[in-house]
Amino acid sequence: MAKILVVDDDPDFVGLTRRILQRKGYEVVTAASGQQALKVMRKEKPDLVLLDIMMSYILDGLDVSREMAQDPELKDVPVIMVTSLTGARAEAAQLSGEYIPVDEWIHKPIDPDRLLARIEEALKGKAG
Amino acid sequence: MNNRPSPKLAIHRREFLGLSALGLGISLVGARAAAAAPSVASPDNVAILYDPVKCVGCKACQMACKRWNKLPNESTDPLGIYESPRDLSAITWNIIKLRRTEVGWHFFNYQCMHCTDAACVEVCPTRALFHDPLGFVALDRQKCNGCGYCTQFCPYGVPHLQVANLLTGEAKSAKCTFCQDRLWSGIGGPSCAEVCPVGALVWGKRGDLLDRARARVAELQAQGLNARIYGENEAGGLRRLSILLGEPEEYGLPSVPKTPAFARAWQRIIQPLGNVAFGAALLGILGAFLFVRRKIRMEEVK
Amino acid sequence: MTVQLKGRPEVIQIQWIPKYTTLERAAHWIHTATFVPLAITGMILYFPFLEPLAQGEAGLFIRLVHRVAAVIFGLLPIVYFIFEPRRLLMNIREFLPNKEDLGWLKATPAYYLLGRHEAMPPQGRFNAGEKMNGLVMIVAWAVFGITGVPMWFGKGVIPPEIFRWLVVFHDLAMIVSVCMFLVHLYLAVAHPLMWAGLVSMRFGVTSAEYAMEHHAKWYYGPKRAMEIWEAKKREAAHKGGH
Repeated sequence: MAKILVVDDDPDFVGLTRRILQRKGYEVVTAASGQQALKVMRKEKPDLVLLDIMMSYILDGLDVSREMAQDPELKDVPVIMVTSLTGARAEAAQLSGEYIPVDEWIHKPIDPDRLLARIEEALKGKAG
Repeated sequence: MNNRPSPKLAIHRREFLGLSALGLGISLVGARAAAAAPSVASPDNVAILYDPVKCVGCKACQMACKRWNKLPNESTDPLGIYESPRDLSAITWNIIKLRRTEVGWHFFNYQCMHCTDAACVEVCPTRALFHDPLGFVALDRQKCNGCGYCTQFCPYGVPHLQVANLLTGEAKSAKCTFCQDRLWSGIGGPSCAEVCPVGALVWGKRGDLLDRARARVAELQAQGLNARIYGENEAGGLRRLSILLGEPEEYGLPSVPKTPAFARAWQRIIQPLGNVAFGAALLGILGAFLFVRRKIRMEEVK
Repeated sequence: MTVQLKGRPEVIQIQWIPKYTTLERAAHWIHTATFVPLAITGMILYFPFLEPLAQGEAGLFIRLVHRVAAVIFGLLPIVYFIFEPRRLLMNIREFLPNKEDLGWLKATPAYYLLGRHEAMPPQGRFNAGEKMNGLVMIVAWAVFGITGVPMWFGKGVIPPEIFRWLVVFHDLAMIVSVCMFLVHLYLAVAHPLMWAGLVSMRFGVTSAEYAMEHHAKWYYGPKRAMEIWEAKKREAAHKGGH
């Protein structure tokens, strides 16, 4: 089954998400910051990245997704951005006028079924 | 708002002066007024003189103090020794103890020293402890709020707290008052001195008592005893004068009581400096507030 | 949220970013609600002109209020630690000073008094002034506790020689923390540039644009924040001032 990288500085969120994904049969690797995420990504080559926006700084997730988009090895990895940022209701929300290259948005607190459905879609999109 | 005339500068100056006055005023009002003039040991003050050579240890002084001040008995361990109770306490304000010097065992009376540089008066936040014009350190129990600073700053460990409730802090300070009520109502002098059957404990004018003490010390020294006066200049001069037959330390008394200086430094240096800090902070903030009001326009604030 | 000022055609968009949890905000306000009575009741034993309030029955009551508030004040950080230890540790880490805080100190007059935005180097989650406030408060809390508890229960138990120093340090901690509090109060309530501070402590969120300017390192990350600031300084230099 696919390998998913969960990136979040909140260990509770990582733990919960890991349990949900592993029960579905996914392999899970984790990272707690943007820097760490890029390192782990290049080593583990996940099939999908669940990315929190706000970690060591508010736009941490944004910088990660932008660096991924510029890296030929990483630009095709689907990214689902997870956010608790209030006011970012629209999926195509523009934060400080920046364009964020992600495939999907999902809001905290996450609904497990919704999360799994989005992951499936994103993985299918990649394969197809 | 843009049509302000050039007296803008005059307003600045006025405001600045007003603020300075405010800041300075706060500092000064807070500072302990030196107008609470420090007590001076005058020969016209009242005083008590204790002569251990005459003392027979009858403890009439202890009993008289208890009786006049309606103090309850203190339960002590019946160890068969003569000191009973062992020490001054919230309900024992006058006590006879046994001391040993090169002379041998003899009795010594302990009570409030009624210092001139009284650390207890210095640190008392309510002025419940104060110097009576006659010189002794009086205690107004109504004013006392039980903070207990006096008990911790006295170099002789004299005041004690009568604690009603440790949790809420309800307490009152207690110490020998020189029988302030007897003096103020004209009944007489301190009970302990008036009851002493052998004249070991006497009271009168400090000047007179000092003369007597000097004569007595000369007499004792002529007999080969290491006699000295304690209380002439200690802590600015005590109003409880004692004749010692040895070093002060042998009686548990400090030869140089240091805590009054510590207490004074705390009350008259550290605290006023704190007030200066508060004044400066308030001054600075008020100044900044008025300055910023003109300089930073809200439209530019993100 | 969309904000339109009455009578003005422009509309302002405010993006809110979470900054403080509910527990943090509650703790802050309970801290305020205990610190103020503690300072006031303490000052009654400190200022000679307040003597009448310190005497007799009034004085006993004042001291009782001081103790009750002190217990809450003292337990608060412990409660915070029990329920949100990671947040507490994160905040402590954010309070620790580093070399870059000197830049804040240098820029203070230009920024806070004259409003020169480009003079201030990018700040993290807490700017250097907020760090000072936090550290002063943490140290003062510890000093108050370490001196206060023996002052309460230790008379006749601990040696008077030690007690005397305890009251002096209790006083010093009060002086420093009250001065800090006064400055904190002014900046939080009355300084035009710091408007989002009070909002964030009341509602837990801060405006994204405010964070972009005032806490750029927290918003953009340290590298990009520096780049943006260098660009701003260059722009200001070209324009020849603001």
